[in-house]
Formats: sequence, structure tokens, C-alpha cells
Amino acid sequence: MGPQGYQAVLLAGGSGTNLFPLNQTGLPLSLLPVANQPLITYPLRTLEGAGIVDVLVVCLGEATAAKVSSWISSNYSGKLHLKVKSVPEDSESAEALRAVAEDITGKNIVVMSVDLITDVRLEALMAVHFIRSAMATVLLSQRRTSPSSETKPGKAPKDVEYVGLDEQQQQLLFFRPSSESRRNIRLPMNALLRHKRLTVRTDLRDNHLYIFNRAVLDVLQSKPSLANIKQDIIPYLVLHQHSRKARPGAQQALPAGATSANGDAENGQRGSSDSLERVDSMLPPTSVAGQNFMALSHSAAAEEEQSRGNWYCGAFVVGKDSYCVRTSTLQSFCEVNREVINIELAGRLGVHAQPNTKFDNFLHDSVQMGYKTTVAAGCMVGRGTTMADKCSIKRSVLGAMCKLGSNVKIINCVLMDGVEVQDGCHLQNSIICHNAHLQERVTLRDCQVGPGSIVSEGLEHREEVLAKAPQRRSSEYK
Amino acid sequence: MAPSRKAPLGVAPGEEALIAVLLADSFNQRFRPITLERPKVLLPLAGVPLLDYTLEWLASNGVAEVYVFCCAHAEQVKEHLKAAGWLQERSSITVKVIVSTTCKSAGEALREIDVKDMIKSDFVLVSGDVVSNMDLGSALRMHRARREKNKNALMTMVMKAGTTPAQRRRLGDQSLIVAMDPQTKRLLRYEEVEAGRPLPNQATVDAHFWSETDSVEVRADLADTYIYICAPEVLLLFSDNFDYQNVRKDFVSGVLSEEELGQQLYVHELHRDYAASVLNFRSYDAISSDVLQRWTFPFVPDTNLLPLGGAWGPSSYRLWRNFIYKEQHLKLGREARIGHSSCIGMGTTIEDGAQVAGSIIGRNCLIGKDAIVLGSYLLEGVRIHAGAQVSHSLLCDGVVVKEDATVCSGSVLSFKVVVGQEQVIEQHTSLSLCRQLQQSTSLSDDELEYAAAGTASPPSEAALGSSAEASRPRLPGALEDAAAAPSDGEDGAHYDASLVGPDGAGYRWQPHEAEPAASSAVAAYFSIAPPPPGLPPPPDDFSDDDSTVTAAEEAQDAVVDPEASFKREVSETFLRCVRDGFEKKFLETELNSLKIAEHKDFADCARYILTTLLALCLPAPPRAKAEYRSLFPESAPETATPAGKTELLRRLQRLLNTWTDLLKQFLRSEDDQVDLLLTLEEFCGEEGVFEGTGEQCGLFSAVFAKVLQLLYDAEVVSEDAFLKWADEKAHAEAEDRVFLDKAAEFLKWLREAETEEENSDEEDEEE
Repeated sequence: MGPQGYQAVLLAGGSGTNLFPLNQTGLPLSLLPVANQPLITYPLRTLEGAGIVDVLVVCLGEATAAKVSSWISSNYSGKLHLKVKSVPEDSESAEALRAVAEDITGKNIVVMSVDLITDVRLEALMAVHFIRSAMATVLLSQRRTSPSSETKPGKAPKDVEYVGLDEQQQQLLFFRPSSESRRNIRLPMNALLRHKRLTVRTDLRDNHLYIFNRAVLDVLQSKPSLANIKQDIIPYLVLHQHSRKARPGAQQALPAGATSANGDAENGQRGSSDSLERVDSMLPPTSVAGQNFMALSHSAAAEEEQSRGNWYCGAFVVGKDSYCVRTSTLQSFCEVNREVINIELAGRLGVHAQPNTKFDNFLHDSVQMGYKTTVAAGCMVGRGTTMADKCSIKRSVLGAMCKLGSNVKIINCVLMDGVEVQDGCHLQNSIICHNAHLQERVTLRDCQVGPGSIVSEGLEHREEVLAKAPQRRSSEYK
Repeated sequence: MAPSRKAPLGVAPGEEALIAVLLADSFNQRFRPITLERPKVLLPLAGVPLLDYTLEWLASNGVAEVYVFCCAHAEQVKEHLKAAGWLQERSSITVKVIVSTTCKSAGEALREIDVKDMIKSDFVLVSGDVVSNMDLGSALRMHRARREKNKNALMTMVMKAGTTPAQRRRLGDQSLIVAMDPQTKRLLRYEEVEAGRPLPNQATVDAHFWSETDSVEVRADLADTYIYICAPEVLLLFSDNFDYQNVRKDFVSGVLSEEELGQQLYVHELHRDYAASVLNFRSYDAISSDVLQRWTFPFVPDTNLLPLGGAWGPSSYRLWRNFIYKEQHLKLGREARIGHSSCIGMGTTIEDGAQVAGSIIGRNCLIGKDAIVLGSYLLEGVRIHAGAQVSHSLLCDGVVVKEDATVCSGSVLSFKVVVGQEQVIEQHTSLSLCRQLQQSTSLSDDELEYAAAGTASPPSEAALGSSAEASRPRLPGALEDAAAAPSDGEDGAHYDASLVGPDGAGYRWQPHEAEPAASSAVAAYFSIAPPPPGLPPPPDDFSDDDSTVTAAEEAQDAVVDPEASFKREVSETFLRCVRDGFEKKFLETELNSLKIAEHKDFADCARYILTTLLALCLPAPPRAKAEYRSLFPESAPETATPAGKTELLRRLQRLLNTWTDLLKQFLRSEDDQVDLLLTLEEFCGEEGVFEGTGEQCGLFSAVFAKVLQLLYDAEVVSEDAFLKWADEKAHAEAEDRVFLDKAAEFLKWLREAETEEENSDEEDEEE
């Protein structure tokens, strides 16, 4: 068990169907290569860096679990105790958590999605969670683009989270993810009155990294309808922070700190109400009550309002200078691949390869380059890859054992292991999966080429998915 | 559109002379019965009329010109201004009086000012009851900076931050929920919850605000100070919208709701400065104690800053320990005890054994032996005789409380009321020498009727009782007699003797708020007595069943299907007219305008009128508004039994009898009628917009054919339309023909009838 009884649950996902055709490689989401190493290595590094020991790796489906287990047993050499669990394939995040609840022994649980790559220090989050004796702490990061700048005036923004924070931007008072544009936002009045001011922001993003108090497991059990952590659990916990209908199950399991804080507040209240009633000694004590109108703002009322309520949901807000990105879509997969090999970020994010500081890129020693071939800064080329003459590689990640002909231009691309690109190809913003074969003078732009596909010579494609068969999953079941 | 801003000669644009408009009338009745005889702005607070606080504060902020707008008791206000020296030529401030006795609201006053066309630049709009020591400079600079960039920045509202609910209750102020942009301080939403009412359990904010800014700050701690810095266009807006009465209720909400016009309001937050407005007796009490406790410095008694009109000249207060302020020339008995937060005016006598605490005693008062005065406000010349007790009450000039009488908390005794010996005035009682008319309808909501009466005589109308002799208008002199010699003769006999005693003088004055039921609670809320300690209960939680709440919420918040919303509009229009008993013609006009506004046609209206009628035969659906629920029957008939079916049909028949004409108005063609039938089908099958509404529309499917029959009998739908509908449906898929099958018999009958009709017209006629 880690520091302060922290344990982690890594939601390792399933076969990665929303990354089609990448899922055709037979690799589950968590083993897809990002900068030539499996995606799962990034969150594992984050967890290890925070001193966590026990990690439950929760996979969707037996098949995924088996693949992840075998990867762990043959490749993982870190300090974490990893235990792989499988849950039904269609489980949502909270359902998965509920399914493995019996295996959770820690007092606090870090729940993290495998596709989050971040350089935020998890130990800072854990410390904050512990100090606030929070029920839940949510990692929020500033969006790169402001949603309001992308929304027409008069229309509500889409695909945002409405996040309500207190004055210090610490306590989460309102949380409502919304993929559609809404008409109204309804804020709970009791939270508003308690905190007096509430800033509701749309420029923050939830990153699927949460720390929960163990008591959340009881909430999970008592509310079986809550299926998704982001959509259901967090809004529920946030909403009921101050609700007067205390939930007995949750109340009992409250963090110890929370109850003591309640006690303090009560004491404080008693003390100051005495002072409120302190009037001239010759008068009966209540006769001139309410005399100190302005003083009210410094006394009992104010303190009572600040008492803790049922529990506390905290937010950990990081600015644009922290790296926090999820590889949940094809586009972000491509972007993340390029971004993590930024020479400054790579170390912090846990990229294994050693940078070549002279050229600001990652070139494996075994790479062979022909005459006048250039690999620009911010590129990565894997082991045993060969490039013939006059190639140009910019802002791209090339896997191991790739073979490039001459006059190949690659910009903003991801090439996985064993890709063969023949002479005169021109690739831009594309993902080429394992062992694909591009014949001479192929031109691709914004395309995804499935594993083992062959693209015939001279063809030009734009914004296309070039894969052998449609969904491989469906063929499996037939 | 904007009038050209003409800066006075020789003044740079940034430093143009500042103008203020001061409304010396609150346009409400909160201070009755006192305001029958004296305007609220002349009510002294810690010895000084409220108006002087406002004027002095304006003067100290470098305001060059103040327009004092008087309505009720204009003469008194003028006289006071003269006596206090405000009308003299001063170097710093010019006070000009505008009198209008016809204004009934702030809106009208501002329109009047606009007509006079005097104000060409930004101005400060305040009410004459504001007590503040804020620095207008910073608010003004920000306002002007915004105006430089954006001509649409109309108004800056000064609000006090950090107000707790307890403080609001102490002030008797309404709760206020404000949404604004934290960066620009632009006001997005301003929602008042009337004082004393429970807050809703949610604060709703339009989601489209987030298209202009990434963060919206929602505040529950702001209190409006009723100080506004306005652009001259504000006056124009009031003139353009002649129905604007109240600055906040009409103007602010109007500007915010007409966002597309681009006009914007901004908030200026006060953190350390003091600003509050005497809205009611409770805030009078709260602000008085703030003044004594020096939150309003330099406007505190011992600075003797404020000019005092009248015979005694300037004040001479000195501060003693425990916030006790005393003027010169007091006669204090050796055993008299004066407690915390008190203020005693010149010429007052406090005899041995008397106790005074938390009270403000005006000039020339008398507090007799062993009398007790707690948390009360005694204006000038009040006499509390030996052994009397007064707590948390307001006693106006010349009030006499006789030996051993008790005035309980929350009472207001207007001018020259006399409380007889050993009488007990109960809590929250208002007494006045003016008799209140029984039919309060003739006393409209304004104080103007008394404006003319003002100084000359107490309001004749109010004094006119049903009893004959006493109905003569009493002159002040006569009143004084009554007060001085209350036991003297007939006059006294007409007072509420049970209340003030045989030797007393005064009538009970009932506060007549809008709703009499709530009035006692409201009276307690605004009473001069402070609220009981402790906080009001917080608003209710969300219902425990989270899933249903969020689902309902979701349904409301999601951008709704226009068809469903039109259906709701029609149905609500219809229900409203039914509830209010409007004429059919009126309803027709309403629906027509709705039709045009929503780009619908006649058939659309007809369809939803019919479904509303059908819904009216069933219990109210869960989403019906509470106000219409009473229109619906309580229970649904049991349609499984024949009796239930008949009951349902009888209900429908009854409604159809009334509304057939209306339906026909909207059915202009055969096609419309077919549309109607199709909708009826959807309704009975709970499809389309009727799906999942919680209305038990399905019940009608059992009697579908009978409904058709009723429509046919009422001649709403012609037989041709029926047949057309049947033909249209004939080739539909099996599942779509459920209702056609149900109607098969009816249609068969119809077809037969038709042929019969053709064959033997004569027979029909015989029948």
C-alpha cells in the first residue's frame, strides 16, 4: 500500500474501437504505441512517480485482459504491483469500478484512465486530497482553446464541462458535462448561499483522473444507477456535498478529517454567538439582539456557512503550462505522438528513448540514413529503420524496422513498426499502422492506413481510412 | 440616438461636472402611517434627516449639481432644504428642486426629467434614503472608461459585496442572485427574490452566456445599494418604454432581457465602503445602529458634519464610551442608566432610575422615572412617563406614552399618538392619529393624495371616518389639542380606546400589503424590531430521487423540439384563457398571433386545441404548471369498464359543447380536418410529441371510435374528411392501421349513412 493508504485503479479500456483502424493491429488500446512505447507505460510512470504501489489494471473483456497481462509479465519491470482484472466489455467507468470494488483495500483510490498522458505530479494531487480530507479530487486542466471563442454569440457552447468553483478555485461546487448545447444551467442554491460566489467556467477540461475517498465505494453500491464516473458519479458527489439529507451509509464512512472539521465549526459558532449576544451587562441578554448589523459578516453566520457539510469535492486546476492530453480520438492520437517527443516534455512524460540533444530528436543508433536524407528536430525514428536517399522527415514518429525508399517526404505522421514506404511517397498528417506497405509515389493526406494494408502505386488519398476489412471485431463474433 | 454630450465650458471631458438625480420619494408605502404626515426622506436617523445624509455624501464626492425630485410632501422637502441651507449659493454644490405631484413611480419621475431635457451627461441616480460613505470616484472612472470604449455601457450599478443572508434579513432586503462576467463585471442576470420569501432551490443561468465568456460568476453575496451611475441614454430608455416603473424590476430586467439590442449594465463592487438604503423600518433600525457603531464614518453623530435645520441650529454630539453619543444641555438623573449604542439629543431629560439602551433619543424628549427604553427610536419631543416600557419601536414627534404603559417591540407610533396609562400596545402595531379608510381601494398605491395635504393638514381622506362629527379634517393644531388633553371631550371617544386607553389618542393602522394573508409575516419581516437570532432555514435540497430530477431537468434544459414547444404554447394559452374566463374572441386572437409568430397554420392550432381538450378530460399531466392544475379533473375514469368510458366521453362532450366554435374557426379545409384526425391518432397512440409526456393519452384509444363520433356529431370533422383519412390510411402498414381498424365500424356506418342519404333524402327529413 502506498503513502497514506493510496491505491490506484487504472481503467485500461478495451480494444480501442473508437480508434479504428488502429485497433486492427490486434493491440488493445493500452498497448498501442505512443512514441514507440505502449500507451500504458505513461500512466504507469505517473503512478509510480507518486509512490503508489498497488495498481488494479481494469480491462474491458477477457481478451484485452489476457493481452495486457502477458505484456506486463514479459515487459514490465517497474516497481508497481500490477493486478489485471477484467470486467464485461460494455462496462462504463463507474460500473467497472463497482465491479472491482472488492479488490480495493486502500483508504483512498486514484482512478485514472489509461489514455491520459500528463506531466502533472500526481503526488501533489494526492497531498491536496489528503489535506482537504476530500471525498473526491478531480484534475481539471485549462483547455488550449477557449470554448467561447469557438461558439457563436447567443448559442450555448457544445462539448464542454460546466465547472463551478468557489472563490479560491479549490472546491468543486458544480459539475455538469454537456456534449449538447443547453438552454439553462441550474445551480444548486444551497451551494451558492454557502459559498456566496460561484464561478462557472467552461474553459476547464476533466481529464479522467480522480482521487476518491473509500466512501465513494459505498455510494457506488447504494446508487446502482450511476454508471459513468464523469457523467454520474462526480455530478452526484458534487451536488450532494451540502445536501441536508445526509446519506447514512456515506456519512459513516466519512473521512475522519471531515467530521472533526464539522466539530470545529460548531465550536466556533457557539463562541461567536456568545459575542453576538454580549450586550451591556445591565440588560437582559437578548434585549438588544441584532444590534451589530455590520458585525454579522464577521461572526456566527459567516462561520456557519463555511462549515463543511456532508463531504468535500476538491478540484485541482492546472494551467496551460502543464501537459494533460487524452488519446481518445484518432486526431489526438496523432497529435500526442508528436507532442510527447518534444525534447523538453519527453523526460517529464516518461519517454524511454534517449534524446539526441544535438538535433533535438530521437534517433535510434541503429537507424540507417542515405545520402541527403534529413530528420528534422522533434522527430523519432525507431530501431533498425532504414531510409534511402533524399528523404525528409518532419515532426513525425517512425517505428522500428521501417523501410523507406528514396525521395520520401513525411510530415506530421505516425508510422508504426515495420512499415514499408517506397520511393517518392508523400505523407502528411497520416497514421500508418504496422506492416503496411505503400507502393511508389503514393500521396496521403489526413489518412489512416490499417495494419498490413497495401496502397497501390501512384494513388492519391485524402481524409480516408485505408484498411483491409471493416471492423475486425464484428468478424470475430461471426 | 444619443444626445450630444455638451461638457460645460472649460472643463475637460474626463472631468465634466458631475450631476446627480436624487429621488426624494420612495414610491412605496413601507413607511406608512408616518409618511402620511412627513416624507420618508425627512425622517431623522440619529438626529439627522435621511435626505441630509444623501446630499452631504454627494457633496463630499464632488457632485456639482443635484436635482432633488419631490413628489409627496414636496413643500416639506423644500422647506427643509431651505432651512438646512442646501438651497443657498454654495461654492461646491447646487441643489435644484423639481416638484411633480403627479408621479407615481421612479420611472415616471425619470421620464419627467427627460422631458425637461436638463441632463446631457453621465449622472448619479440615487434615492433620498441612501446612507453611504463610498467613494464615487473609482466607480465613476470605471464607468467613464467603459463609456469611452462602448457607448452601450448604459449603467453601473453599485453593489455591496460580502453580504450574508443574516445581514439581508437584518436589512429586510430582498435576496439577490446576480450573474456577471468576472473579468468585465458586466451584469448578465439580476434576479430578486422578494424579501421574506423562500429562495428557489436552484439558480438558473442561461447557457448562452458562455458563448461570450468562459466563466460566469454567480453571486449570492451582493446587495444592491440603489446607487446607479447612468448614461444619459437611460432617461431616453425610460421615455421609450413608457411602461417602465421601477428601476430594477423594469429597467434592469428589461435591458437584460433585450440583450440583442446590445445595451449593457455593469456592476461596481463595494468592499470596504458602506452603502445602504433605508427601505423599510427594519433597515432603518439596522442602519441606525451602523451609524452609531461608526461604519458610516465620517457620517456619524459626533462629527457634527450634517447640517441640522430647525430651531436648534447645528448639533453638538460627543462620543462617550460604549458608542454613547450625547449632545449638550441634557438633564440626566443620577440613577439614570444609559447603555451601549445610544444617542441622546439636546434638551432631553432622563429621570432617575430610567434605563436607555440601543436607542436613539431625539431632542427635547422626556424619559420618566424608572421608564425603560430599549432599541427604540424616539424622534423629537417624545414623552415617556414614569414606569413605562418601550422596546424596539419607533415613536414619532410628540408621542406620549403615559405612566406604566408598555409598547411592545415592532410598534410604530406616528405623530402625536398618546398611549394611555397602563395600556399595552402589542407587537407590530402601528398607530396614527389619521384614521385608515376601510375601503383601501380608494387609497391607491401612491402617497400623492397626501402630497397636497402635506403640511397644511393631515390627509383629510384618511381622517374621514364613517362616524359623522369626527369626520372634520383635523388640523395640526387640533391634533395637538387632542394629544395634550386627550381626555378632553368627544374627540377622544372616537379613538380606538381599547387600544390606546380612554386617555389615549390614535387609531390602529393596518399595513395593507398586496396579499393580506402574507401581511402578518411580511410585517414581521419589515418590522422595526430586529429578526430573531439564527439563520433562516436554507432552501430545500434537490429531491432525493436524483435520477428523476436530473431527467426532468434534462428534458427542460435540452433544446426542445419546436413542435412540442408549440404544442405547449397553444395548450398554455388555451388553459390560461379558460382559467381567466376570457372570451372566445380574445382566445382566438391570442392563438392567431401565436400562429403567426411561430409560422404555423390553422390546422396546427386546431390540432393542439383538440389535444388540450382531450387532456382536460384526464388528470393533470406531471408537467402541467401548478396554476392550471385546478382545471383538470382529479382522477381518470376507469376505461376498462363501460361506465368509465361513458364518463370520459361525457367529459369530452361537455368541453366540445363549449369549444366547438373555436375548433371550427381553425379548421379551414378538409385537409385541416384530416390533419386533425392524424393528430388524434398520434395522441391516442402516445406517439410523436405526445410520447412520454406522462399524460394518460392512451386512455382515449379505448374510445377512439366514439371520439370520432363526437367530432362528427359536433360537425367539427365532415364525413368527407373522415373518408379521406380512411383512404389515406388504407394502404399503410398494419401497425399504422390500428386506429383505422378501431374506427372501422364507425366508418362503415358513415359510408352507409352516406349512401342512405343519397338514396333517400326524404326519409332523413322525416326523421
